[in-house]
Amino acid sequence: MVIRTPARLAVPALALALVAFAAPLFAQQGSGDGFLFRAPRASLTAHGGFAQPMASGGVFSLATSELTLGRSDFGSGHFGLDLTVAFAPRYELVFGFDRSSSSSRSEYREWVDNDNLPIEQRTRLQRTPFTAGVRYYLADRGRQIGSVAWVPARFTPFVSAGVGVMKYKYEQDGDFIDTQSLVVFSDRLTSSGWTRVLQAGAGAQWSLNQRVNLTGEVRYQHANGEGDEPFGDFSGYKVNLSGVSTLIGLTLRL
Amino acid sequence: MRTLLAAAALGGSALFTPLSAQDVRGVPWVGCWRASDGIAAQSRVCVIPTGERDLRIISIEADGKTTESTLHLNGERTPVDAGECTGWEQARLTKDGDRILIDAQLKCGDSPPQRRSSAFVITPAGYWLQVNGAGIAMIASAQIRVYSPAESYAEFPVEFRAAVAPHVAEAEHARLTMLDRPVSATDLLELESLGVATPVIDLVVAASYPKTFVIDAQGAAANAQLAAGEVDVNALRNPFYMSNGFPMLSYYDLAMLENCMRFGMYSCRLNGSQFGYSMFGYQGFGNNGMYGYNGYNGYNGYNGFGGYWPGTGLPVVVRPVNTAPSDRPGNAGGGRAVRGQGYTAGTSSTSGTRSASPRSDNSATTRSSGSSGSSSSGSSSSGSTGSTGSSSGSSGTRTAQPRTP
Repeated sequence: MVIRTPARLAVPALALALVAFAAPLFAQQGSGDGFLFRAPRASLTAHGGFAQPMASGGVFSLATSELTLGRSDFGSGHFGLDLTVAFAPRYELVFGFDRSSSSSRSEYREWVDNDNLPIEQRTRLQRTPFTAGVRYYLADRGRQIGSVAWVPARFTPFVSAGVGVMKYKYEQDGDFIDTQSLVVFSDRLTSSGWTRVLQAGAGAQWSLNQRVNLTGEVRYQHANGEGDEPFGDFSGYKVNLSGVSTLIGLTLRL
Repeated sequence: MRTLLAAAALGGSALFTPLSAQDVRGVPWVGCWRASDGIAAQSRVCVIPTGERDLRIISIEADGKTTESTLHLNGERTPVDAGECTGWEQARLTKDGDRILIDAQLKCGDSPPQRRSSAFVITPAGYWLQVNGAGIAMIASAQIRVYSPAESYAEFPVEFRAAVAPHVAEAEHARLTMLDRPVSATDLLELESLGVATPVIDLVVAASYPKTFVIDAQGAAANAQLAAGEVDVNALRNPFYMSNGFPMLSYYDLAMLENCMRFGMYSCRLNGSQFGYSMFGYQGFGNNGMYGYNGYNGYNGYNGFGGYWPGTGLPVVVRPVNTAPSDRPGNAGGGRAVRGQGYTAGTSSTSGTRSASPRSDNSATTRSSGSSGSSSSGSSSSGSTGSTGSSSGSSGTRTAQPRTP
């Protein structure tokens, strides 16, 4: 895993900044000292964290057996946004997306070239799931007091489940060995596409003030990229896109 | 409301717990006040501390007649026995001292027991707002009285001036310091735990946030009083007043309507069509009681607070600012554009005098829409594994050999 470039970090940073800076603006509207004038109908969460794919089977077996890669090399930071819409006191619809991208350098474990130099390549894995699901809060998110005041709860655990699609891209770029002739060749090999994803999660929200929550969650996503077509770059290999991600973010009650 | 129901079931016994010693001599209400709501009764009031826990409340009528009562801020029930009416009254300061809460229950004759929940608050503008909710079993009505600090004490009897003078400075200081303390979540939780009625809580919130909520005196009644010269126009300019000239279905009405349906409230009825007058109907003004008990003016002669509370405040509802129909943005004339039909005028604007007719010549400019093009390029990678046949960039001379340990 390598450190992401500042340009890539800018996107999640902007998302977090959006929530962080928007919060005071919203806090001045529709809210009192520690309470809202109505229960929030929606929320927006900018989150980041660490995503660890299962990285097993298919292309990953090939990579981890031949190259100096391990499962942990496919772990990466990730960021995302969740939009929730409350449809019952304890239920919310959750629409979200996040993006994780790992990039790792490697070389052949068992082979070097005829100059005794390593045969190197870079492996990238990008996953971008778009999901829709339901979140259920195990405790009330807040209390309605009178008709015009809603006091948020300090701590609210929740579980969630959802479905969606995932855009993925598995790419290796560098030098490879022709297994028949042992000739070293350079290429960029790619397997990409869209696939279905199932998601389940559990987490909790801590109320920082009447408008902003600190949200933590652990998610498991189950997805498999289809095996490449016979003449594809990874012919016959599947891409196991399942994985666990932990995230922490700021939630703005709307 | 659940709290209230529970409270009613408990007979209110657990609503108030005795206070620890809390000196009330410098509370913000101490001093002399003048009514700002245009209601003639008890237009002048002096609040004088008696000891550390009691407040004498002296109402002075226009003819100089005074009525005095004592508010025991000890959190303990004080029995009430006033003619046909018996019951109890209980008052206390909130923990932060920013509000006085009063709870009472009285039974008059054969009538069902009636609960009353009240709060004294100081608004951000420095007014003393008396918020009162009353009803049977469930507090279902809300009234307010508004007082402003007396500008001159010369108009008050000298004995009251002398009694209040030692405490005025401290009270004014307390009043000034609390102006920047709107009701908070902690306060609300305290109010809820004490069983304060929903209408009262709503009014306490509305009084603290006048930019967000309007305490609506429901125009018809206010206008009626205004026409009769009974309402001070200046009162309607108060930040917590906005008279719209017509009754409306407010945010609060909706909540109450829901509760009415849910609990089948005993006296929940909508007096006017379109919910206009709802349960806050103006029968509540004067002596008709909003529950249809003729002559049941609150407590049938007993006005609460040892006779102090007038029972004739302004019936009010809380609604968010800018929800009056006239405040709704846009669509003033009812016109709109409908797909497939183009622009259509609303029913309210068909009587206009300006009409359109077809052009008589062909000079109209024909507008053509420009075309736009776009190009895109895509790329796909190709390659192979295990074969050099289609590989690109292969040196052809570089080969692999086993790594030597």
